Amino acid sequence: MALAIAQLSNHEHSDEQLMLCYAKGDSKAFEQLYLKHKGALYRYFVRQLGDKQLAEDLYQETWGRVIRAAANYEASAKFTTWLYRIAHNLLIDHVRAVKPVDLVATDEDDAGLDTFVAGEQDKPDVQWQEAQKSLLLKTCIALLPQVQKEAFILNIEMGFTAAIISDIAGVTLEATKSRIRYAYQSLKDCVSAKWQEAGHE
Amino acid sequence: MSNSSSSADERALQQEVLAWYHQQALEVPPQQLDQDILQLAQTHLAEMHQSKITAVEAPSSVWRRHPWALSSAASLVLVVGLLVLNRPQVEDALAPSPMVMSAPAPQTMARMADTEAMQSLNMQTEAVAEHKRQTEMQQAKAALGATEQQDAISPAIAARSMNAPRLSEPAEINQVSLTEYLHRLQVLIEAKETGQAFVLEQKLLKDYPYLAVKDVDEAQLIESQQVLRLEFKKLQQQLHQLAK
Repeated sequence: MALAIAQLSNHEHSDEQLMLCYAKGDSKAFEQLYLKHKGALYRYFVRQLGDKQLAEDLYQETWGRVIRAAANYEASAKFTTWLYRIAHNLLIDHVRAVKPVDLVATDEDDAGLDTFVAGEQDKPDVQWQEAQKSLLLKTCIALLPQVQKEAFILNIEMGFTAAIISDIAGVTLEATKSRIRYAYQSLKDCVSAKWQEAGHE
Repeated sequence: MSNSSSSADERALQQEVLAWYHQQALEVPPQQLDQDILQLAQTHLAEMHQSKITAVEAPSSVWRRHPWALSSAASLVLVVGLLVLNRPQVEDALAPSPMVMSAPAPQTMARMADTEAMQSLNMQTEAVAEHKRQTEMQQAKAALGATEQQDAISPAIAARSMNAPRLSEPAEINQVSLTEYLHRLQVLIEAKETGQAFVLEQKLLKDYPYLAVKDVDEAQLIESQQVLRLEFKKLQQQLHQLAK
């Protein structure tokens, strides 16, 4: 997906140009910008919070801030870095306001694990196994610590490097690299453990 | 070697997790949410455009755009107007005044004292000169009066009276003049010119009242006046005896 966005950027205006066009009164530029980034940003909130309503509120507030800041926007930094820094700050404000335990995702789609266990005997092929493991991965992402979860989603959704993520989250590069590495390893271990719990090797 | 193998393992791990991740259903925001956000963007754009139009259509007045320049100009006009209206007073105020001068240095003070002394001396000199001029004028007048009297006095006496003092001299000068008049009176008596002697006697009694008063306090007269008074009395007796 990140590759697709990069290819789109090569053929179309850059994000920064679109934002400047919108500030000058081109509503189509904003629509183009929105369509490009809406899915990744939406999942950034949904997969970290688990609460879809709260995720949609923060998602809407993020775009609202982008719209209100358009008149004063300066293309000194990458648009995506600026966009996700806004999202990160909103998320941090929310994290500070609620108990950490509430942040553990309780996605209603966790029922997928039960679905996987019940039907595993019927589809033993590899493709089916990968599909089931992807369902397990969703559950395991929700179990990650908040900082690892954010670093993992920014890396896998947007293709951001550790440097960009450290810029967005406001932490050191080494800490960000460590978070990404631990997140991948934890997810692999989590998925493997759950797969074995289901009676597979 | 271990670094490269661990890096390869890390890449393999990421590829495996990435494959699982992209098999998930990708959540997208509801269409209603998309429409709300796009509507918000258009609304905000319209508001920005409207505010720009309002700013262009209703430009601030010249007074609001240049408040400092215009207020400064108004103040300047006011001050100049006051100066023009009060020009005489302003010129007087601006004129150099000795009252506002700073205290001079000691050397300057000494020079000023010398200057003042010189000015005082000059004033005294001028006063003396003025007095001398007035005296000369009075002498001239007295000379003119004496010339008129010489018409009534004999030529012999007239020659002596050329040197006679004037009647309107100051006190000491008058005393000298009285001495001269008494001398003239004595000459007239010796020449038995009783008529002219009586005229001179009356003139002396008129000009020098203290000669006529009989019971004058002797203490009020100075010594020279007492001597002259006695001399006048003596000559007066001689004249009256001669007339008998």
